[in-house]
Amino acid sequence: MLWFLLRRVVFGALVLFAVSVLTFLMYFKLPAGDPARMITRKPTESREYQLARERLGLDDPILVQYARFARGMIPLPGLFLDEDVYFSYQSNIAVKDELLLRAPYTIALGVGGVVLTLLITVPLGVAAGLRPRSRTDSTAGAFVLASISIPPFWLGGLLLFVFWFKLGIAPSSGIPASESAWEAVLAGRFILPWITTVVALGAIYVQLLRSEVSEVMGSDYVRTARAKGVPRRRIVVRHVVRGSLSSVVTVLAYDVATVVAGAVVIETVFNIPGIGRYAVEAVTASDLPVVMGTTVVFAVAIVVTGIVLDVAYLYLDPRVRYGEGSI
Amino acid sequence: MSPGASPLEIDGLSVSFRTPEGLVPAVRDVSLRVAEGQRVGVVGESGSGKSTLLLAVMGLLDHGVVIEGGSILYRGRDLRSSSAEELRRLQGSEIVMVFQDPLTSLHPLHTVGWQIEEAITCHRDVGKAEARRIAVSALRDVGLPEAARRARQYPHELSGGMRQRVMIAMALALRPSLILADEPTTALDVTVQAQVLDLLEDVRSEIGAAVVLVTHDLAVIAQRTDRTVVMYAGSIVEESSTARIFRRPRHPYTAALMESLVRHDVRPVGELPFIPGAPPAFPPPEACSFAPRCRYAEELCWTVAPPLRIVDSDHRSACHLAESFDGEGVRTK
Amino acid sequence: MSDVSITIKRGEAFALVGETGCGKTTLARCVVGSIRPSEGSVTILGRRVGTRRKELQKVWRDVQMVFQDPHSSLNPKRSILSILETSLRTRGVPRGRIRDEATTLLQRVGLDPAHLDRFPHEFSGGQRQRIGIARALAMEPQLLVCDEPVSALDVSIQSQILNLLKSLQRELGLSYLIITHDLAVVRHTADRVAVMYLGRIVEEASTDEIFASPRHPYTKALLDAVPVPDPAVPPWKRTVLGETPSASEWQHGCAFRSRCPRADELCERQLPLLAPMGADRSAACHHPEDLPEDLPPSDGSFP
Repeated sequence: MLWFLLRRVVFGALVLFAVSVLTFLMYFKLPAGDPARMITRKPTESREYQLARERLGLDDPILVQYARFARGMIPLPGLFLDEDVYFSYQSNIAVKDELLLRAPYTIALGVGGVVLTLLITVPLGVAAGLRPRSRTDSTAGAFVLASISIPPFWLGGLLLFVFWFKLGIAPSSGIPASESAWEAVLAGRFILPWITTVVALGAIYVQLLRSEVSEVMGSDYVRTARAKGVPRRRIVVRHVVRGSLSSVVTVLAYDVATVVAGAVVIETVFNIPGIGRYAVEAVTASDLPVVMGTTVVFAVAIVVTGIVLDVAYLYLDPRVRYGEGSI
Repeated sequence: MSPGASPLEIDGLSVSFRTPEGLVPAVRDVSLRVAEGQRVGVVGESGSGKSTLLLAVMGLLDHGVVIEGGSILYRGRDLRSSSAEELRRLQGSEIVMVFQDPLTSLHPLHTVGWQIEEAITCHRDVGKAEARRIAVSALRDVGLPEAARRARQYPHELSGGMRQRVMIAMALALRPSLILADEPTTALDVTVQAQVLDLLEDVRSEIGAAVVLVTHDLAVIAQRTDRTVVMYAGSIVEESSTARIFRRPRHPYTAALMESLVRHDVRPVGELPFIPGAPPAFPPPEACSFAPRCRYAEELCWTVAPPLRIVDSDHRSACHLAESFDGEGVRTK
Repeated sequence: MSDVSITIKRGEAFALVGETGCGKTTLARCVVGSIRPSEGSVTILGRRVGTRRKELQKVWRDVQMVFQDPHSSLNPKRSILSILETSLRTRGVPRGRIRDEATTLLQRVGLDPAHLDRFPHEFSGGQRQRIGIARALAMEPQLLVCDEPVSALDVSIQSQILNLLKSLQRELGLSYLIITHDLAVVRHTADRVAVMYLGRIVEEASTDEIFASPRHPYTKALLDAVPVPDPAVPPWKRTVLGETPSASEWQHGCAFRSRCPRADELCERQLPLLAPMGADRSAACHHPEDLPEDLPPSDGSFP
């Protein structure tokens, strides 16, 4: 088991390394803004500018510059996303601090969105799978179609228009600076964003469960369960859903990772100060440290998710444990 | 339900598949009686309807398969008119089924012990510990070495023969009175087949259950059953005690089947006999379904479907020419 | 699979018998070149079977395989003519003659050439197996490897296919390597038999000899275990119990000793090698059945 984890972690570190190198190189290749200019906002001839250039080490060789950023990727306190290197060229605020500030909003959006998605899609998908060609099944089909086709930004805007602008029942977009994430949740500011998330993410859960449940119901082992006289409800829960769990968990794991990275579009439409927006705005402004910092965080999130998922499989599917499990 | 009544009585049962082209018959007007503790073998090839018959008795037909008529009585109780809950109570405790492929028939994600315990707890009001004890004991009864350890393993960790033993343990744990076995040893190696069939016989005779054994293997029928039912294209074409049928079959299909059997204990002489053609997909109702392949077919066979009737003591056959038919393939007339 | 050596003569039908995990399928795949052996070689008509594409293409002129499952081994999207065409063109038959050759092939396997333009799903299992044989014959091979040629077929059809195989052997002078677990198939189609257990050959003899007087206890057990379609014969005498152990469980000595009624200390200590048991037959056992007294122990030494 330890060996297994170790291999995954090492591989994860390699992934992180590759991602960071690529990001860094892309920045250097793209017509970027001049960092010293961005910070000092003084002409190039001025002394402040020259100082800034020196301080930032902009004339050092690429490798050295990269090394500075690389140091900030080591997950040790004091080193991780250190303030000397990782600070926004635009606002001068340390990436670390900004991330910590924004994280709660993204988490509120993400966790709430995923939970609501599961609450709606799982029963719908399972019910549809149990009754093929019924009305429930058609409803599920319609949901899937809608979910795939409707762009989140359009839906978000529409929901705001209808429920806030016209009907006045939902709060407006945006979160007052003084309100914490928890207060914003209680104020109902996340309800429309959550609904949008369900539509954005939901299709695959419904479709997956629908087809897996329907297939499993026809399998030999379910037939055996029926022959044993197992009550239907128990069959559905203990035999059918149990069998579909690993596929659902796979998708769920990566959705969680994506949501942690910030559902940028939804954050933008509803004006939520989350991590996703932070990252995208930094890219457009060529704010390299922010880009690097957020990329590192996203990559770590995904790698960790992958490892957790692998471990989860060992429990979910005993066939993986032996032989092919390569523990 | 009368406990004294026979474990299984099927009367005029017809089952069809719903297809885009309409209803396709799979079992046509089958009547069959299984006595207490009797071993009945149902033999037929693909398309004969033998498996569908078992599934119909067990109440496991898929959605697209309908029972069009007839009755199925378990100890006098009509299974077709029983409620779903009544049926469920019988399934797995009094009427059990053993399937062909133990790898796909066992749930891959639950331990073998869990699956047997489930069969027990769904029918008996016992605690987990007691259920586990019964399960392990059942595994021991089927000759599984290290039963307690095996109970904690998953199906893919066991060999084919062990898995089939598990299926048998699961089926027989609650001492049923009727066992329906659908090709229980077809997927197994031949040395294991023999052991599993022996096991089935041992346990069966110990609890006195009746067995309906469906197979395509005539040899298994010959050596392991008391009565034989031969099915072709959805109907019974011949039925009698096993000894009688093998000594002197009264239906051309049965005789041809026995003739064309490839045997390992017989020295081959020239070409092997065979039955030309293949079973019909849509047998016409107004003729004998075997006529196209029968070397004795007469005009009557093509215009009137032969009914299943008594042609000798304890011997039924669905052939117009049954009385004069000599099992050796030679007509005595 | 370890240390397996067999020789198939021209025009001979050689059967490889064994249960799951004995290695017979692996051997068949080595013969057609889809697996490379770790040690040793396969030689067909004097030419070694390698695994490089060019070598294999030559090999496939001489060796063809007939598969077990007639339902999945034919491409459902292609007509019979198209399926045969691929092989015929590989052989070098010019376009204009394809249909004629295909017609001959179908006739040879007992099918109506009018069906050339039909698709596999329109045929029964037995007919599809004939098509599979036709496809194999299209390359005009010398050796046909048949992997369980009839086990997926109905009983009344099996004899038809076996008859076909036998007549083709006569007409075309083909050699066969027949892989099967079914002893009845062996009896009716093979001239020689090799019995495999856990990757080794435990007995080899002519068909008649093996059925009349098996020497290896496993062979005898196999023969005893097959049910006989005669109610008067009591089922199976218990000569062997348990199941084939997995390859990792067996470490030394004879692989069969855990299930053999004759096993003793010698069997545990020393792996028996194939030793002659008569003219042109051999078995790997320290205590073979019905053995004349003067044969030496199985240490692999041939006189």
